Order: sequence, then C-alpha cells, then structure tokens
Amino acid sequence: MTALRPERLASRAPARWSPTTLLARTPKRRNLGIVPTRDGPDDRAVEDRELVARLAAGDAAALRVVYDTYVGLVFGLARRVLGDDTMAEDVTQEVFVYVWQQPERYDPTRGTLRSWLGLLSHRRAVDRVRAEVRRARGETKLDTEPVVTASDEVDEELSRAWLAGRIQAALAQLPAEQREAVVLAYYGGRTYRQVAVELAIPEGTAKSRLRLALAKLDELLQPLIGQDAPAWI
Amino acid sequence: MDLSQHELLEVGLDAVDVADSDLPDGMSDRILDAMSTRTAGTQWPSRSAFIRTAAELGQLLDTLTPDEWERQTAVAGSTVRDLVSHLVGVERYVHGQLGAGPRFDAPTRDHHYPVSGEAASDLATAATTELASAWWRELMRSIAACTDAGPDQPIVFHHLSGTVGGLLVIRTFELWTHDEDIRRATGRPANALDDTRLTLMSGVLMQLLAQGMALAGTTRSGRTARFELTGRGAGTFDVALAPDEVAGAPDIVVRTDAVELCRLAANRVAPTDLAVEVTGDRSLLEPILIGAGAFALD
Repeated sequence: MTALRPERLASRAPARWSPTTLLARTPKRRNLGIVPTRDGPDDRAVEDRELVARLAAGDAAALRVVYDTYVGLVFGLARRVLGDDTMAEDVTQEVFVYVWQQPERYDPTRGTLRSWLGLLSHRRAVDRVRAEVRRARGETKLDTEPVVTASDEVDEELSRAWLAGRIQAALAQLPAEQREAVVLAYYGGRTYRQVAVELAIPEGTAKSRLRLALAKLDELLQPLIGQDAPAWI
Repeated sequence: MDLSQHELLEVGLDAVDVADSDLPDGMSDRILDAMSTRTAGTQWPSRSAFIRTAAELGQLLDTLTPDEWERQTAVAGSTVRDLVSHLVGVERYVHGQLGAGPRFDAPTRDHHYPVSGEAASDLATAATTELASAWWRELMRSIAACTDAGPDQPIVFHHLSGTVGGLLVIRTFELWTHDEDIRRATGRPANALDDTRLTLMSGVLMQLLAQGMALAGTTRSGRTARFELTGRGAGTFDVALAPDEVAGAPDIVVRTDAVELCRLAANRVAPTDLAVEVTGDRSLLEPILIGAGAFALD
C-alpha cells in the first residue's frame, strides 16, 4: 500500500456562504440583445460543464457566476409569460434554488446551460399561470408541482420543441428585412458585421435591424409562450 | 435558410433577456439571501483541476461522430466507446469507496479495468449520447460525494491509499490521459492543459516519486535526483529516491518537459522514449522513470 500524501491547502474550513462573501458581480454572457453569443461553442460547452460541476461541489462563486450571467434571461422569460414582476421574481428564485440544489439535473449533451435555464423558467412560469387560472376559477390544488417531474427528459425535449415552434411563429410576424437579418445572424452564429456584408448594408443598419427585431420579438413572444402552453409544460 | 431548434431558442432567449437595470430593485439580494442556507467549502486545487479536465473531456465527447465512437484507442482492445463505459464504471467504483454507492471488491491495480465490467455491460447497447450522459451523471455524483467527504478524508483506490484530495489528482491524470487517448484515436490535437493543472500534477508526481519507486521496487536509498521540469508546469524539485528520506545534494539532474513526464506517469510515453537531458549518475535514470510510471492504471 502506498500512502498518498495529503494536499497542502491553506484553509479547508467550510465557510458559511452569504451574498456579501461572494465574488463581485460577473459580466453577463448573454447575447447583448444584438448578436448571437460570441463565445466559441467549444469554450462555452466546457464552461457550462465546469460551472455545473462546480455547483455540484457546492461552489458558491460558481453560483454567483451562473446567477449574474443568466438572471436577466430567467427573469425576463418569466415576466414575458406572467406579465408580473413579483411572480416573475418568485419564479427566478425557484429556478436558481433548484439549480443550486440539483445541478446534476442539467444534461450538457442536450443543450446549453442557458437554454436549460430558459426552459426551467418557462415551465415554472407556465405552472404559475395555470395556478392563477385555477385560483380564479375557485379550484384548489393539493400539492405544489415540482419544477421537474419523473418524465423530465421527455418533457424537456417537448418543451424545447414547442418553444422553438413559438419563436418561429413570432419570427414569421417580423417585417421581412428584420427577419432576414435575424435569421442570418443566428444561422451559424454570424456577427452583425458578417450580416452587414452578406446583406450589403452598413453595419449600423444591420445592428439597428437586429435590435429592432429582438425588441419586436420580445413583444410578440408574450402571448405566444404564455397562454396556450400545452399540458406537458 | 432555416434556423435549427437550438438557433431558434437562442433568438427567443435573446429577445426576452433583460438588462440588469430592468431587474426589480433589490431582487438579487433577496434571492441570494434566500439561497444562503447552504454552506460551501473553500476551493481545492485538485477538485478544480478534476472538474476542468472532466468538462473538457465531456465537451470532446459531444463533438465525436458515430464513427469516431467506434475507433480503437491506445488502450489495448478498447474503442472510444469502451473507454467511456470504463469511466462510468470507475465513477461507480469511487462512489462505493466513498460510501455513496455499492462497493466493489477491487483491491489491486489489475482490478482497475475489470471493475468497470458491470457498467460496460449495462451500457452495451446504449446510444452514444446516452453513454456520454451516463458518464456525466456519475461524474457529478463523484464530485458531490468527494465534496461531502472533504479533501482529507482517507480513501482507498485499488492498491493506493490516501486522501480524497490526492485521489482527485490521480483522477485528473486519468481523465486527461483518456481525453488524449480519444484525441489521438480520432486525429484531434492534444489537449494542452493549462499551467495551473500541470503545476499541480507535476508537483504531486514529484511528491510521490519515491513511493512510486517503492511500488516498482526501484528505490535508491540515500540518493537524490534533481528534476528541472520545463514548459508548462515547469519547476525544479529535489527528490529523495526512497520513501521517508530527505533529499540531499543531487546525484543526478534530469531535465525534461513537464507534460511529457506526466504522459510517462500515465503510461503513454515509454521511459526509453522520453526526451531527457541528464547530468550526474545516469544509472539512476531508469529506476526513476520506472518509478514515475508506477501509478499508471491502464
């Protein structure tokens, strides 16, 4: 038997985590509302896995990175579905608590961490809408639905497909020139500069079209992703 | 030009993403306060190295084509698929050693590959994405179990006994080695580990060299080697060539690339193939290099 020497670590005492002990806020890694993600797909995939594995290790700094990076997305999506800041905040909290407590539920082979968080937020927000409808009808419900169920993987695939379909429907309602810019920008992750070249328009125009298109999509998506979600969501 | 489902989701998520300035006042403090009931340990260098290496291997698996999953690797008789099934089994073995799953009786080095036989059988007909997911799930359980145990928790890993912190260095070697096996088998460039991980790995290798020489039966009592490691993970180490001895004046100076020495320790470079510059007593070189490779598992 060989005795492996222990690592020499300066301090191993568990530290009670509080927001004030966390690292400074992390810059967002969202798509800036203008262009698709600029991280290389490889880097992003490694980062997603690393972040989630750090969450599994109880690394509060990783939680802070995930929170700072995706809170706008999680909250924004919930607000689009619910149309209410207070309920959207509740959903946001539920999503991040869930991610913190069960990071192993994220399967990186099925999509990015970003899209997983988006789906969690959407599904939880839809649950809220349904609960509100039941409440308004005077119905009661005995238990609180979990964020995910035993059929989570299937549900996630269905939700992903359904949500993508809604987004496609919203895209179809955009003015042609905006839709063209968006499709080009997201097809293969082109930059707005590349979009400008391919459409033979000035960069400023490409940027403007993309910004306007995303703002319009934001409006269009509210009814599309909230009111008529199918039962599996 | 149709957007894929993934691309459509990206469009939609970008459209609804809001700026920090649009978040309700005080929301982040409220949410983060509500999540402060869980304690979190401090960083461990070996756990960070293990996680990063696992993340890179996971990403590599995501990029493999069906054909590449069936390629033969440098591990005798093993395809890429076999290697990943093997890793699933190793994770399950680790769970057992940490009391977080069924225990396997695998006390010797020779048990390392057979210990994963059950996992290989379970996953024999699994789709490759399912196999990659299974490995990742087991790996996440390992990380959680190691974290619960803590870095100083004693653990036995086949013929090696030590701490969980030390185990994660060995396992970082293991994942990196198999990552490189897969890259070689599929014609991809080698994984250039960062300086932090290489420094950790080469440093631990230097700490364990005398034990490795004892395992291999090549100790040289009263003798000392100086290693001048170059490249990423570089450093200079004076190492006693028998356990529990203190390094003295060097009898031999070995200058070599840190990454290549790590590959030798992982049994992916033969002692005769390692590029070294040696001064002093050259007769010490062979027993040293054999000892450095004594921790390799496959």
